[in-house]
Amino acid sequence: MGFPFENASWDGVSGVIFVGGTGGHTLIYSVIAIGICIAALLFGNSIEATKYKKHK
Amino acid sequence: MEEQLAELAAQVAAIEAKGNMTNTMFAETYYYLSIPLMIIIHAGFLAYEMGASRAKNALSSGVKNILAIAFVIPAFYFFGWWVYWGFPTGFSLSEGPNGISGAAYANSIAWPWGDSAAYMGPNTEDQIDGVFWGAFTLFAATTASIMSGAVIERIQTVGFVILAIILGGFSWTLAAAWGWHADGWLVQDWGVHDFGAAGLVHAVAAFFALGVLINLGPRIGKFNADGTANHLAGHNMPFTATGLMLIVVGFWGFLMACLVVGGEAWSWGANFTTIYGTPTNLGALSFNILMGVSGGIIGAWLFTRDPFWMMSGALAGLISVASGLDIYFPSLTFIIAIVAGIMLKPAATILENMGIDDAVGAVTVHGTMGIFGMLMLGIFASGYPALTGEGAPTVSFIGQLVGIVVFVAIGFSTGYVSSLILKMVGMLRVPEAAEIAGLDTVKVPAQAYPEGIMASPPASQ
Repeated sequence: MGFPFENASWDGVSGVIFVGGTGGHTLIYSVIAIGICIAALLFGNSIEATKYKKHK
Repeated sequence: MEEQLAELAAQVAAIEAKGNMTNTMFAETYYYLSIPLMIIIHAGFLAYEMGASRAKNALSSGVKNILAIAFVIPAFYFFGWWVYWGFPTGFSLSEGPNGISGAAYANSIAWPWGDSAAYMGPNTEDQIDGVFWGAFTLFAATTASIMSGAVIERIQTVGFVILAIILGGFSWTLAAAWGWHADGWLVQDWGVHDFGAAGLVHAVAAFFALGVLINLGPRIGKFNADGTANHLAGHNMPFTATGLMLIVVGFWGFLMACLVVGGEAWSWGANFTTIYGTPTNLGALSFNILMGVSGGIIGAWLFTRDPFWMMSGALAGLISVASGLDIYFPSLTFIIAIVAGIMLKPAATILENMGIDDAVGAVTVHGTMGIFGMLMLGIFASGYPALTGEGAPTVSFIGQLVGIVVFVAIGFSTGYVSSLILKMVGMLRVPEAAEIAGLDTVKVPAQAYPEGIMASPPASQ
């Protein structure tokens, strides 16, 4: 990690400035984020199904 | 003398650099501001659908709208943006004539990982992709909200969210790649022109909803044994009418984002253009949006006198002229929109008589009017260039007809198949007992009206 530029001004930086941009972490972060979305849907569906069982 | 000329040249260069930077910041700000304006569309849909629900379902309808935005945003980030840039030439994923499409191009700018991630996050050398993506993401979320109203009061929440992801992340995006993108085969081969997305947003979303409605079925009590329909009134008409007005407000943001700002490397020229590079400006939108909204309301008022249909008429008027907001004459816009407003209620009744329970008339407002709008442009603007440049394809009735057939097919097929799969795995419709009890009671840990809806006495003098 760490700030890859000399100073945080428009004169001192050029290109990608996001965290992880120079370390190849974008895939890891994205895969985790996608996984969380899928897990949230599965969890939500599980909760919803439980609620419906009480009203069958 | 030479020194003075050199100094003058340096001053001119400095002024030019400042002018360029100002233009860049204007372009960035322009699209950025369209995003919160489009969020107002969702505030409108939220109010509209909660009001159109019976009190026992008010909050669960709202939960659905909130989750639609929440899940469509990451869906469009993770794969929707890639679909828009990858598919314009069709399923071959090959590069189009402008060189800004196809799998290789999409791989280079639209995945949030690897080298292309440079365009999918903060970057000092890229002041446009983020705001472009943001505007398109709100287009995507709008499609989900259009579908959302049709299915209220009996759809499962997660099942709905999955449908919203498919519609917002893929279905409409595919239509946009084909009919909006400058390399889109519908634009290049058929001269399809749909400036304000009457077909590729509204009709796609509406026919996606129709496909879902067929599998979902009507609400309990909507139809009698003899097939006649009952009116299941929502619990708060003022809320619904206000929500519809908010949707109209938000569409100013939607439609401003349909313009391409001039003067940048990615622009079509020095001035505003349509997404197809053809000339237009904000003045055209001001004239035609206002006249379209006005005509739609008046048309609906003539035969219904009902505030729900009058405000739906505003949307119908706007959608019926959306394809040609860039080039219509305002009086013509007004006439087309009035016809749309007049057709609205009868068209909704026809759908209802077919046994389809579209709770808010979304299929009619967005679908029927989307088709009508696309075809009207084919009649009135036939011969207009559909794309910029010499030898460009031109607008024609047949081209618009082909465009709308493709859009309807994309929407209906993906909506029908995905909802059928959800139905088969038991994730589409809530159980009968839950529907009768009311979905707020079943699954929302909050009350819409804990104290009831009471009239307070006037203050004493």
